This record gives sequence, C-alpha cells and structure tokens, in this order.
Amino acid sequence: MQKKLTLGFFFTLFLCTTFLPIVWMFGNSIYEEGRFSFVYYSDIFLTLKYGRVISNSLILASITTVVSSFIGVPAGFFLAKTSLPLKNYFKICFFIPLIIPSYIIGIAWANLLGKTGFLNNVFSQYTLLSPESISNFIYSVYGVSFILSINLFPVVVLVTEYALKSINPRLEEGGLIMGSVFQVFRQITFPLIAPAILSGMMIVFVLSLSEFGVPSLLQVNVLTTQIFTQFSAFYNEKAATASAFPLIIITFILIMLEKIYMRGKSFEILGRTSSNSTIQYNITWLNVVGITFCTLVLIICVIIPLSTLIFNTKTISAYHDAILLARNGITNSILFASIGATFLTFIGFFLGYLSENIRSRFKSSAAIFIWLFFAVPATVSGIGLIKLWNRPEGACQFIYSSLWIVILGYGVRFLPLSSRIMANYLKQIPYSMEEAGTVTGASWFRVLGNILLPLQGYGLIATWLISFMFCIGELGTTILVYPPGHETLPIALFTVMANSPTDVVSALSIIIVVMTLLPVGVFLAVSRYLVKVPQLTF
Amino acid sequence: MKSISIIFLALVLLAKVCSAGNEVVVYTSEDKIFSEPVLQAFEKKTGIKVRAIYDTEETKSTGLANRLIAEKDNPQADVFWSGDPVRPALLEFKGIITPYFSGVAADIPRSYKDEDGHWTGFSARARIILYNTNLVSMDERPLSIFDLAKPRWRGQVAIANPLFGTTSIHMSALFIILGDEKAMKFLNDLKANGVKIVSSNSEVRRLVARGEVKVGITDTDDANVAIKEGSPVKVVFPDQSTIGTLIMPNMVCLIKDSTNQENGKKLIDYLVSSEVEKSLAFAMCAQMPLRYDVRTPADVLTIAAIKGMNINYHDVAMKLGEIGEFLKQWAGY
Repeated sequence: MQKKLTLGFFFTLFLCTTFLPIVWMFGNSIYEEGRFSFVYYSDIFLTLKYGRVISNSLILASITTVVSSFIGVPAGFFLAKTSLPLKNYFKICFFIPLIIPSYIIGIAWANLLGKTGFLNNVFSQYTLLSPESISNFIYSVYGVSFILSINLFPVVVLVTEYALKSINPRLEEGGLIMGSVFQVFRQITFPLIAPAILSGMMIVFVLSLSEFGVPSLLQVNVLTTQIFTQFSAFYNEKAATASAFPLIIITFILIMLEKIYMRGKSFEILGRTSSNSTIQYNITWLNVVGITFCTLVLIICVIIPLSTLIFNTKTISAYHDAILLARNGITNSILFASIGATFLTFIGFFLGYLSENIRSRFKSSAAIFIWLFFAVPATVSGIGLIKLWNRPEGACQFIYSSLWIVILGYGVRFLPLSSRIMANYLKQIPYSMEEAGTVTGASWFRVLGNILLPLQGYGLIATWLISFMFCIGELGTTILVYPPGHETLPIALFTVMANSPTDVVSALSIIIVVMTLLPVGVFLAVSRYLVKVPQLTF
Repeated sequence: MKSISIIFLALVLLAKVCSAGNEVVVYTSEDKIFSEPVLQAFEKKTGIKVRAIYDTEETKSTGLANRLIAEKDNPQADVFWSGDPVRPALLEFKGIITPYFSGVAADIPRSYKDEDGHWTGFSARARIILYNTNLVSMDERPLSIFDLAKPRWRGQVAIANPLFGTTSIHMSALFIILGDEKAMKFLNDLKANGVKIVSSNSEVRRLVARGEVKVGITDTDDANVAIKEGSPVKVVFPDQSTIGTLIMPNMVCLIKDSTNQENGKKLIDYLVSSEVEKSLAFAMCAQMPLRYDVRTPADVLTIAAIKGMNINYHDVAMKLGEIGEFLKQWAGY
C-alpha cells in the first residue's frame, strides 16, 4: 500500500507538472475558432514541405549521437577502468563543454573555421581543402553535428563511467581468470553496460533533435527552426506546437526500438552490498592509449573553445564588467539549479522505479508517458507553463511569481531525462533483493531506505550531476517564465550578448564555467564520502 | 509530520515572492546593457522600484512578445518598452495594450506616435550598410542597398534572417515603398547574387568585422559596437538621394489591465523624455533623438540630418503578416 501510494503520488505529480503544460499546448493546437480542427497537422503531414527539415533533423541527431558515443564511451571507460594519471582533472574538464552554452561553442568554432579563421588558414595551407570548403563544412548540418557532439559527449561519458563503476566485480573477475582484458570487456563488461550506453545515446539523440541555438546560428533548417519561426515570426503558437508533433513521433519510434532491443534481456548486475569494488586495469599500453585519447578529446572539445574565449577576454576589466552584469545570475543559478537537480533526482528515482522495477503491465506505458515529450522544444513547454500557472488565484500566483515556476520549468524540460537515467541504473538491481526485504517484514519505505537507495549511490550521483548541468544551462523555458529579479546566468549572458563587447561576453561565458564547476566539484568531493568504493587493481 | 512541515516552510521561505507595492514591472526588448541604466535612473529619480525582464536577440530565444501574448489574461507587466516600432502594433492588434497619451511626448514628431495613443516613440536606430574598410575603399562603398544586388558584390554581402527582428521590418518597409513586384525582384536578385543569410544582426557585424564578407546590412547600434571595439568598419546611411534610410524608434506602451497602471504611466513619461533621449545618444548604442533640440555627441547624427523612409509603422506591421510566406521561402525555410 505504501509503495502504491508513493508511486501514485509521484506519477500524479509528474502528470501535473510535466505532462499537463505540454498536453495543454497540443490540445489548444487542435482547437480553432470554437471547434476542433487539424488544419496545422494536415499542413505538416499532407504536404511534402516538411520532408526536408525532418530528414535534416534526423541526420543531425544521428551523426551527433554516433560521434558523441565514439568519444564518450571510450572516455568513460578510461576514466572508470584504468589508472590514468590526472584522471580527476580529465573528468572535471570533460564537464566543461556541457556547461558552456552550445551557442557560444558554435561561435568559437565558426570563428576558427570561418573563411578568415585561424584553423581554416592552417588546414587550407597544409591540406588539399580550400578555405571555402572548410567554411561550408561549419555552416552545414555536419558542422552543427560536430559542435553538438562536442557539447553533448559528456552525457555519454558520465553515463558510461558510472555504469562501469556499478558492475559487480565478480562477473569481471570470473572472466579475467579465463581470458584477456579485451575479451572481458567485449563479452562481459560491454554487454552489461549496454542499456546505460543506449540510454545515453538516446538522450543525446533527443537533445540534438530539440536543439535550436546552433542550427539557428549556422543557418541549418531543422524542425526546431521551423517551430521557432512559427513562434517568433508569425506569432502562431498553434502552428508552432503542431510543428513539434513529428518530434514526439520520432521519440515514440525510438522508445519502441529500444523495447525491441531490450526484450528478454537481464541487466541485473549489482552486488549485494553497497560497497561494491571496481576493477581497474593497470596495464601500460591501455594507460598510454587512454591518456592519448583523453588528451586529444580534451584539446578538441575543451581547450580549443575555452582558449578562444580566454583569448577574446583581453583585459581584466572585461571580467569586472561581466561580474557586474552577472551578479544576480550567479547566486540565482546555483540556488535554482541545486534545487532543480535535487527535485529532478528525487522524483526521477521514483519515476525510474515506476518505469523499470514494478511488476505490472503499467510499467511500459509509464515509461512511454515519461519519455514521450522529452523532445518537445523549450518554447512550447514555456508557453504551456504560462497558460497553466499564470492565474490570479493565490497558489498559482505564488508559484508564478517565485522561483518555483523556474523549478517547474526544469521539471517539464528534464524530468524525462532524470527518470530515464535513474531507470537504467535501477535496471541493474535484482528484484530478488527487494523481495528479500519484503519477506522479512520490512515496510516498503524501509526497503527503499536500506536497500534500494544505498545500492543506487552512483546512479543518484550521475543523475544529480547531469540534471544540475542541464538546469544551470537552461535558457529556452526559463526566459519565458522567470519572474523579475530571478534571472539566471544563461539569461544574463544571452540578454547582454547582442550588443555587449565580445570580451565581456567571453568573460561572462568563462564565469558561467567556473560558477558551474565549483558546486560540481564540491558535490563530487562530498559524494566520495557518501559512496566509498574500494578499488581492485589488475 | 513535523519534518514535512519544516520542509514546506523552508520551501515557502525560499520563494522570494514578487509582491505588489510602489513598483512597476517593465518588459523590454531593448538591449539590457542600454536599457538597464535608464531604468535604474528612473528608480533613483522617483523612488519607484522597477522590476524588469529583458529580452535576448530575436533569433536566440522566442522573446517577450510571445510571453506578453501568453500572459494576456493575467498580465504581469505594466509597461512594454520595445526596441523596434512594429512589436507594439502587433500587440495592439492582439488587444494587449491600452492607449496612453503622454504629455511629455508632445514635442516628439507625430509620425513617431500612434494617433490613438497605443504607443509612443523615442530615440531611434537606423538600418545601415556596414562595410569593412580593409576590403572596401571609401570610393567603392555602396551608397544604396540596391547596389548590393550588383555583380560587383557577389557573395560579399551578409544580411540577418529576414523573418525576424529589424530585418523583417526593413523588408516590410521596402515592400511598402517599392511595391510587391519590385521588392520581390530586388530580393530575388540579392539572393541570386549570393547574399549570405545569417542568424542575426550581431552575426552580420561579426562577419563584416572579421572580413568574411565585405559588406552587410545591419542596425546602427550593432555598427557602433563594432566601431567602439576598434574593428575596421564604417557606416553608410543608404539611399539618401532616393527612398531614404529606414528609421526605427524605440516604442513604449501601457499594458491593458495591469496592476500598476499609474506607475506605468510615470515610467512611460520618463522614457519618452528628452533626458532619456540624450542618455541613449551618449550610450554605446548611439541612438538618434527624435527631438531636434536634444544634444548629441559629435559622431551621432540627429534625425534631421538623415533622410528617413516615408512609412507608417502600422502599415509596416500589417504588411509583415502579408509577406511572411514569401520571406520564409526566400530565406529557405
């Protein structure tokens, strides 16, 4: 009963906070002049004009997913499984591309690879490529994919790293007695973390589908630019919402494909105690490959964009000006993102449990419900929140005029993300453990507190970190709903970047990176004490 | 139960609720770095607390106009300070703003005020041609936007997406002045000449300043930022001997049924004052005062020194709706 009531409560909370604003928007889009009308939908599905933008969106998301995985999975492996020197520095640095707004990374690379850019000059001088072809690359769907891969690969790194750390070491130990490290990884480790990697890939796919800033900057026409055009050029929210519908269909197809892949497979890999050890390979050639790979990733994805920003901030006074512009945003961002990430991790845990660990037919419908609207662009969610919460009644007005509307915005945008990540970690817990607790007569809350939550230490950390970084960078929904005096760092950055000097904008971007890394560092340090892990070296 | 009560209390205390008092809520699409000092000066002068929401460039987020439309049934803003002259007309069509005739604006020329009092203009920007002085000499510089469709400038011109912001207003004004046929021909010629359509006016500025294109069409404030940064660029006010340059004043309007109407009116009176026009002329945006007697820095022209396009901003807003589909196709959307 406790379990049913708790899960029911959190699912209802999800429906009210996340589901309703978006359903409201879609409901509104089929109601025109007092009657039901599918005019905007027929425009999309009965004409061919959206064919090209849908295919552009799919190409963009596919390339981004593949490239991010090729970078993220090995990087996650080297961080979790090798005794790489400076491992913790690499880890912290790999967060940076996720923190710098993708738009800023886009500008940095457009400057470097544009016709008069430094790297364009280098490549055109020492390779057969012409300056035009290099410039054309960056202003194409491939250029956008390249930038988004840089921006999103940390998601795959984090998910992979923590999934590898969660594996019961006995499984790998058994393999190592019989075979080589490579064989163990290919036949034991990789298949066991496949759902986590798949989950990371799906998150990257959907995030790149719903990305607007970089395609807009580089003038690549995708579904999100169509949606934006309907909102900002034609002020037609119904047509804009209808244009988001193909994104939902694509997400639905993805969920179905994943279900087919997962059918009949078991991923229950956690040990029986909270202090699982992690196997680390101390093999010279593996360390050399690891350090080479991670350094290369660091240069391309972190040092190049970051040094461009540092190079642009020529004076110390730029930092002074930037701090003045961002003074409110710093505290607001850290406070809101911390509350948001905690809220997302907490509710995400129960929703993840609901969509993975219950023994009921409702499980798969819950998973679809939770994940379905993840690709809906921020603007649609933002307008939906305004329509739902901007009312003169006391409670609604209280929420709409306070930080809670921003937190609700984070919920609408990222609750599918956090519950998805949690679901994949929860998948690793054998159901028998919970049953054992229940058989001894423990209440469900006790089972939760003494068995499930302690076993999910890594899952909770990974979910909180990813949620925190997404919350702190959120712009699209927040800018539509934030009350006066509640501006966040991305809002501070984007509201001043139009006509502020380049050095101040670059300094502000660096401040965002530092201000995000500080709490992340503190969190990682604290979480080390919470989840203590002995390491076995091979 | 006790712990739940404590958590609930903590959550409530965390919420810095925006309470009504001696305050005014303003939404502004004028760039924050220029509008914030003006609003702070008002606060200091009157003691009325200003709570402002600022906007991004139109191509970076969906913007305040959509927020105002969505909030129509329970408006949160008292005043909308628009950085362009068309958004207020759009809000007027949607019934979101209410008339207010400010006595302070009596000496602002009639063409910059709505005759029904829905909006009042002050300090203006202009649509200009920005050229890179390392690549284009003074004698070669284009003096008309129509020059940019000539083979000489092939692949060397940048313009922001014409569906958004001041570029869309410029396009609409051209359709009114030239007529649909001529305007479409000009835009098609421009496209055939390899014009580079980029995301925003600041992106036009960036490309011209870096020499990736020789010239671009943008706004005076963007141009002025590039000049102040030391970029090798100069400005041409185009078509001074023919159709004139498009002038785009800021506009301010009162939101219908808002909470602080009286304070909203006081803020409007302040914004349309010559004091604000002067401060915006001396700011980095170098906006041109609409009054003839406001002192400006030596490098900021007054409205009297420029031949402006003869257009009505209401008509521009109406035309924008008509040409939207053409512009969408033209921009490849």
